[in-house]
Amino acid sequence: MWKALAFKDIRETIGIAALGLLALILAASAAMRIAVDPTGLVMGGGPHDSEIPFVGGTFKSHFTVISFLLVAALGFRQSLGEMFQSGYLYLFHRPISLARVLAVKMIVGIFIYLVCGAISILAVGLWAQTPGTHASPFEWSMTIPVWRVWLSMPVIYLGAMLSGMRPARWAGTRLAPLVGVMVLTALIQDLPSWMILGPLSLLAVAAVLIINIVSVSRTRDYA
Amino acid sequence: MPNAIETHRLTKYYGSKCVVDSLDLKVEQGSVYGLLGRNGCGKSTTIKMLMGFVHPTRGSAELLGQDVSQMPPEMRSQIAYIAEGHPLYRWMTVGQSIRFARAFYDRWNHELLEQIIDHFALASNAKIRRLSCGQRAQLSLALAVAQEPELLVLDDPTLGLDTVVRRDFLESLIQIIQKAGRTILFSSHILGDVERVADRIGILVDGVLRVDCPTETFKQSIRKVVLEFDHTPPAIPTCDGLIGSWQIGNRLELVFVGYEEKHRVVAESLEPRTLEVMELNLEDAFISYTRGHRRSLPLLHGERPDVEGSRV
Repeated sequence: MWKALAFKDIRETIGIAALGLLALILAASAAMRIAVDPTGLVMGGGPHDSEIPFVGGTFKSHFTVISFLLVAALGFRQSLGEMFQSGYLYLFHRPISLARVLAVKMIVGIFIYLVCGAISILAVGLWAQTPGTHASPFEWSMTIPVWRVWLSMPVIYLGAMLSGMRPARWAGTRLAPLVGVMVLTALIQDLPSWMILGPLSLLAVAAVLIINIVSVSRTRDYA
Repeated sequence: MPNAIETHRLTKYYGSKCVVDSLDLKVEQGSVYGLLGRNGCGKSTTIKMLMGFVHPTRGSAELLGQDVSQMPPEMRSQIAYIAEGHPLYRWMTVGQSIRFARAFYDRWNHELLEQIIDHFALASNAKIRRLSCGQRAQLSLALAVAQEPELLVLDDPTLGLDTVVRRDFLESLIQIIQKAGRTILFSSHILGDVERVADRIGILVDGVLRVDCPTETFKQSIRKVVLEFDHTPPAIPTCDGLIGSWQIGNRLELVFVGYEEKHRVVAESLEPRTLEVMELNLEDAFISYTRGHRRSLPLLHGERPDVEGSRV
């Protein structure tokens, strides 16, 4: 049954994942100075030889925006999307606990994002490590700020999922968890001693969100 | 016989609006129970409360002896539920949908499922989004039956189906489920369907279970009395059981619930030129019963042969 649930959720999110991956590859390509965006619109004008990979340039900001859109889309698709055409009435009546159904959804959604995000960061990192590609020094430690963003995005995904799960009369209150998590995540990015406090804080926020998602799914009416 | 479904003062409010009001429903094991009512009367909310999708404001419900709010997930394998509109994943093919559903059940009658799929001529590689409403209903029924449930709950299963598909669906339902003596609860707007299938009916009016009796008892209880006058009909006296009256020229139509001799006496006291007492079919009886003055409707109680103190 795990396989069946996972297959269903992968199949339902594959389109979003493909679009997200394409956008991340475009962002990575721009950072690697590969002209894949002849319009210059998506990546904002193209690379400059003087940019230091991961330090200068726009890769981090592009990566952040695209990652946010990707995790938000995944979170809403896997929660709100189930509400359309009364899919939840079919899915939630299967003889499996709601918590397990949600666990599979979250694992699939987060895994898809982490893979897509990691591919683009690693691509740019491997390019930057290759001699002769750019006129600046490179250490893998220079990628840490982007990995921080990468690691923070699952929390945003959970915020989007909670926004999709909870009943709300208007968009403002529906989006409250997502907006709240965005603010928290931004604050966590600037924590001192991030390598220790950052992951711990993200884990704490994720735990609160997961508890809320399960609680809301159990207590809300599916009218 | 024990009850497959039992509710105790089940109540649901949405805001200040009471959608289901103190529902005490009992459905015996092995019976086919038709839940009727006009749009917005609380049928779907009742069914969703029974399935645990809507939490009652007050009261409780038990399915197969288990409190719905405490029901372990495994128990849902004994209860099949076909929601209104036959929700299935539209991107799946028929075959994928079967494989998906099968993954959740230890007990799965694949042979029976294939027979039903074959009977309905559903192609395994057909996309569900390309199926007609009737075909989706057929697939939903096949999937529900394959899990070999003890209880089958269907929310308006024939909604949107044409007459032929509806008849075919219901006949399959009767053959497949009733043969094994399982319990069925279904809601419907189509009285002909209910008349064909249900042993017993319940009628919800504004969230209140006004009728709970064998189908035949309900039909026998409602009578229309047609009075013809030579002049304008006189004012109608108040009378217990009178649920509707219509004046058309010199003709007066009275509808009584629980019709008996005293009603005839009341009708005769109006001194009509002619008086005719008419039996109604279930549809006419239902319409007459539910379109009257809603709040003043009398509760129709009858005997349940083997359950003491129950309502008919």
